[in-house]
Amino acid sequence: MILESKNRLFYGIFFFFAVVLVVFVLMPLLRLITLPSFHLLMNAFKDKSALTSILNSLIYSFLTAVLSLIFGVPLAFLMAKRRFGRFEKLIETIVDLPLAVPHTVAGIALLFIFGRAGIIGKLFYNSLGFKITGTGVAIVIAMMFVSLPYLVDSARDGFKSVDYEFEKASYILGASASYTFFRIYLPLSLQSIETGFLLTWARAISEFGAVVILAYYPMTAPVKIYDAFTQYNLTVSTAIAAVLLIICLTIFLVLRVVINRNDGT
Amino acid sequence: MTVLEVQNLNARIGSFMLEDISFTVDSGETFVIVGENGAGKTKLLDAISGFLPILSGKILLEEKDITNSPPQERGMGYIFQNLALFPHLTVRENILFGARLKRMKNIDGSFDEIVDFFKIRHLLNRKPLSLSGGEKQKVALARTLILKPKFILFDEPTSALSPAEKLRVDSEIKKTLEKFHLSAIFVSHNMEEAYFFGGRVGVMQNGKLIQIGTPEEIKYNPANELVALTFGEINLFDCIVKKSNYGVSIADCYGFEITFLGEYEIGSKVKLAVRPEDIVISLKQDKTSARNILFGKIKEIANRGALLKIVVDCGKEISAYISKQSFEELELKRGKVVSLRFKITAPHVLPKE
Repeated sequence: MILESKNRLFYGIFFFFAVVLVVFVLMPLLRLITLPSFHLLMNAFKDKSALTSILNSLIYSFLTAVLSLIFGVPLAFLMAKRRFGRFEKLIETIVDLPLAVPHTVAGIALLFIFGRAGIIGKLFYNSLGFKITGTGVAIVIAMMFVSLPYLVDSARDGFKSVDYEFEKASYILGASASYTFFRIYLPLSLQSIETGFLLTWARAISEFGAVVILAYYPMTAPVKIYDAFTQYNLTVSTAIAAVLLIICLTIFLVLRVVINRNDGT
Repeated sequence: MTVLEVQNLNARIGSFMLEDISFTVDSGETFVIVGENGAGKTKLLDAISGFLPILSGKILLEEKDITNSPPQERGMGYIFQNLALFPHLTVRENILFGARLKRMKNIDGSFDEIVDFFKIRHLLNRKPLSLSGGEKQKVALARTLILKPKFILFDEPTSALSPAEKLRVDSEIKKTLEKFHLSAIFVSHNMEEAYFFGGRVGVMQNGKLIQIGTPEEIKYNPANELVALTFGEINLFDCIVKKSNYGVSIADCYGFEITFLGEYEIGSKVKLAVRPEDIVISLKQDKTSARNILFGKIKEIANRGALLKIVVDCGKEISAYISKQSFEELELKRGKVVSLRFKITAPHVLPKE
């Protein structure tokens, strides 16, 4: 009886903290959605520049997630298989570095590489006449820099969780390394990779600091919201923010449901 | 005919070494490797199957040098400790995984033969997670055997099973190996499995293959104390030889004498090992052919399933096993004085380390 009441107290305290945290996340978001009047929301939906910025955010962040997937999965696999030997810890630190760097700092650092005077930026401008900054390419670069760790870390943990005996079994049955990767590792790590993909996409959509420095135009939604906030007023920027939030939440909820359903079958 | 020959194999895994391992496995033989956890049994299998690069030595399979061949080309089967059935594939896909890769001829015929042999046709569309331990074993065997391997490595495949299931699966494996006339290495830390497969046994310790022989040979002539312990509990006596002639020696051990076979230098130190099951407990001082009779008080009684372990203090604590029936007949209890008797052939002299 005493034990039961102690347990109840333990779970009660934990529930209290958990609920506080959930409310902490939900409250501002719900307030944001419910604050603007219906009329203002409709106006934001009809505002072409606002919709374009939201579309930019969705497209460029999706491209970012796809590129992160293409480059990140091989890196994650090599890390999980400890193929970097004594450089393993160094590589892990490098991959997670963007998480610790303020995003405006990341933007400035990227500017030195991809800006018109930057190492790669100059190369592109001189050889192709293409200025990276202020284009969709710059947006993707900025988004990818700050969100790539989410995919790599998640995929790496997924690959690591695959029992080494599966690899041995695959080899002894005659499979090559690539066949084993595609037939064994990839399907068994799919949930982690999907989660990493979603997190990367989500992080990329919300990116402001690095993007605003590398490409103010074409505007993404966070930049547009900032722009509206400085140019007009809080009411207009709130309406655009609410629309962005509604669209993002809908997409991620749908994707979560689809992924969970696929994993369950 | 020798199927597998391992010659002076040396390999390193971090700070752990497999050292100078040599043995052969004959056609149709199941060579059982026993040893404690961390002895290097799995690492030895990994070296033989090509997953662990070796520093020196040779591995010959049917006289072909496979030392540097990749695992895919060794023609070996490997049944892993956790069986490694791919959880996202059905039983059918698991069994056909290797067969399709190797583009085997008459896959369907081989598949049907194997599936019928193991009677697993009803499981083909199920995923491994929904199978029982015994069913998983059958699928793992089927997946290996469909490739017609020249040799199979078993890495403690029954370690996760209940005792009853272990017996069933061991029988299944033995029957399968006999039916397909296959040679194998079976790694276990369970001596009962060594007896069950009936072939030779190799005992591994600290990366070395310490001793090879039949279970009986190793049990009664262990190479050292640890090997002796691998075969279950044992009484060890540090003694000094007092008398030795005509092939019989008497040694002074903890204030009592033990008579044993063999001639040793008088005054030399010997370590004697006596198995608890070779000691008879009695209340009377009746006539007996046993040359060794010790007296002491019962200090501890422990239930060991079918038998009871009785620890008697004779100046040194000595363990003996007794059946439950005898235990009740003798009305044994703690503190009771009993005699322990064992034959001159029971003590075995352990080689000096």
